Amino acid sequence: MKVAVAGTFTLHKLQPMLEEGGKSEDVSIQARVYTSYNLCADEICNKASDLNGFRPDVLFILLDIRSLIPEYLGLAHTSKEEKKRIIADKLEYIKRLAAIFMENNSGAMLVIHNLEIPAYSPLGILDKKVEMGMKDCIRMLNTSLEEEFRNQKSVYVFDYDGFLSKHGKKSAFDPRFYYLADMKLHDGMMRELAKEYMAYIKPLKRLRKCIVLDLDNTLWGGIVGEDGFDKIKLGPTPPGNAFVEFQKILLALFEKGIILAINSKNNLEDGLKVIREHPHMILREKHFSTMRINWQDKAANLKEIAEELGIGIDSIVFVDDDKLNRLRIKSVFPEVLVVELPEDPSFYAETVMELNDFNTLQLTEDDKSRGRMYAEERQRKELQSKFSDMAGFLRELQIKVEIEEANSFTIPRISQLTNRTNQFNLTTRRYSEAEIERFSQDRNCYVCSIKASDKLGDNGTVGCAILKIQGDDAIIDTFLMSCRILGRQIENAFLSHLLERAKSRGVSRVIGEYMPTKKNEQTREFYRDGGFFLIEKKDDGYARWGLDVSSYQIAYPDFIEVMREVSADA
Amino acid sequence: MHRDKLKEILAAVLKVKPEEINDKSSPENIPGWDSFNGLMLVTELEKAFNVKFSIDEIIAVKDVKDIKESLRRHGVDI
Repeated sequence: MKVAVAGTFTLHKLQPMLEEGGKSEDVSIQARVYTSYNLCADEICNKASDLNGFRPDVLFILLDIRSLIPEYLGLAHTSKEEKKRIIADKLEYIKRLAAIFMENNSGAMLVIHNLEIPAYSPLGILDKKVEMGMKDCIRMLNTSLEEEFRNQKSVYVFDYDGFLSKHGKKSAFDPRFYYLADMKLHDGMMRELAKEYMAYIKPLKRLRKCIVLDLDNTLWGGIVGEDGFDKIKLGPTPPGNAFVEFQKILLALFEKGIILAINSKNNLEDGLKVIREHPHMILREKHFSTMRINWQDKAANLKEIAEELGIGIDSIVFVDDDKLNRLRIKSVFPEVLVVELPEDPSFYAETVMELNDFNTLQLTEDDKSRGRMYAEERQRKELQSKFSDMAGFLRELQIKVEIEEANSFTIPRISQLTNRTNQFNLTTRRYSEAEIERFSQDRNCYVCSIKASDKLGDNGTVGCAILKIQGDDAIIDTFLMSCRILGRQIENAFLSHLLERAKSRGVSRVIGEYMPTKKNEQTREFYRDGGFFLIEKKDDGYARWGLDVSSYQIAYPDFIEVMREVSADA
Repeated sequence: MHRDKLKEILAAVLKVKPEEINDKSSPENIPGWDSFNGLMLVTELEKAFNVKFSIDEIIAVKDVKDIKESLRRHGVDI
C-alpha cells in the first residue's frame, strides 16, 4: 500500500513510523513524506511531481495553522467581513488542493487534517465575548471543512485538533524545535500520529467485525462460580463501576454494528444467570450473537464461533483478562487481534477505546443492524432444527429477494461488500465507491445488488454482482454473497437474474470467472453447478466458465419470491 | 555511570558502536549525526538526565565534549 503525506512542516520521522506501523498490522506500507509549505501544494498540483508519479493509495494533507494562516493572531482584531473573507479564502484553497489531487489520482483516498485551534488568543478572556473571536474563526473554518467534505466520497477530515487535545497541545509542541528545525509537532508525537493514520489504512486491508469476550474478571470482577451471583463486582460503586463502564463501551460498539460473542470457561448456568438476571449487567443475551460458556479449550470455542457466524478468524478481536488464554489464542490463531487487557480494570474501557480497528470507510444501514440480524440468525437455526428436510425449512422461511440496479443509495454498500466479502466471492476484486459509481454509469456494465428477507427478519443487502458486456459476451466480473445467508439458494436466484439480464442485452454467452484465494474454495464449482461449461483452467486455479444463454432455459428456485426493479433500458 | 549512559544514548541515536565515540566525535566525523538526529539527541539526553537545554546551548554544541560541558552546567556529574 502506498501512503503519502504532504505537510507544511518537518515530519521526517513519520515515514519510518508509518512503515513500522504497517508491519505490525501485516500491511506492507511504502510511505513518502513531502514537507514545507510551498512544496506541499506543488507536489499536489504539478502533474510531473514525485507525489503524482508515486500514485499513492492514500494521501494525508497536513496544513498547519501557522503556514495556512500566517496572520492568524490578527484574526482577533480584524473586521467581521475580513474574517469571513479569510475563512472563505482558506477553505477555497483546501478545496482546490483536494479537487486537484482527486482529479490526478482517481480511486485514491484523501485525508485532510483540520486545523489546530490555538490555546492562546490575544483577546484573552474576551475571546468568547466577541462575535467571531479568534478561536471561533478557526473553529468555523474547521466546521466548514467538515461540511464541505461530509458527502464527498473518498475524502475524509482528520480531527487533528482533537488529536492534539488528546495528547496535550503544550506537550505536542516544543518551541525550540520549531525555531531550530521547523518542527511544529514534537518528534515524540510522530508515533501517535502514525497510529491515527493507521485507522484509515486498516479498513482497506481487513475489517474486525466481532469481539469475543470472556466473562469472569472481564465483563465483571471476580469469579461467579466461586464468589457467587451476588458477590461479583458489577454495579455503581467501585470497583464494579469500571466493569459497567467497560460494558457501556461494548454496547456502543454493538450498536455501531460490531458483533459480540462470549467465550468463557464457566458453568453455563452460572454465566447465563448473571447475563439474564444481574441488575447491573449492561449487556444481555440479545446482544450476543453466540455464547460458548463451557469447559472446552478456548481456541476450539473460538473456531466454532467463527464457523457459526460465518466470519473469518481474522475478523475477530479477543478480549480476555487471563494472560495464558491470550497466549493460547495468539499461538493458535496469530490472525486474531488479541487485546492486551491491562491488569487494572479501571483501564479496560480506555484500552478498547484506543483500538482503532473497528473503522469502516462508510457506515451503511446494514452495518447498524448487523447485531440484530445475527440474533435473528440464531432463531433461524432453531427453526431449521425442527425440520427434517431442507426443502420444507426453506419453504417455511418464505424467502423474498429484491434485486436492484446500483444507485446512489446502494453504491456505498456494494463497494463495502466487495471489500469485505472473502468466502463466497468468485473473483475477490475490491472496488472503491468511486469505481463502483463509474461502472454503474458505464453503458457496457450492469451493477446490481440483492436484498433478502424472510418471515424471521430482514437480512439487508447480502450480495452484489458486476456484469461487463464485451461484444457477444457478458463477463461476470464480480459475484459475491454474504456468507451468513448461504444455503438458502439465494445465490442461485441471483445468478439466474444475471443470466436473464445478460440475455435481455442480447449477448449469446455469459462468462464466469473463478479466481482462487485462501478463502473462497467453496465457490470453485459454483458455475459448474449453475450449468456452465469449463472454457479454460490455469495452473494457479483460475478458471473461466461459459454458458450459452440464447438457448438456455433460465429457472429460479420455486420457494423464493423474486422482486426486480423496472429495468432502466427495457 | 553517567558517561556510560551518555555513550549509550549517542550510540543508539547516531547508530554507531559505543566504543567509537570519544570527546572529539562530532557531525564532521559521524555520518549519522545530522541536524535531525542532533535534535533527537536533545530529546533523549533531556529525558535521561532530567535537564532542559536552552536553544543557545543546542546551537553551540559542536562535539561530544560540548555536550558534556552543557550537562555539567546543568549539574550532571560527568
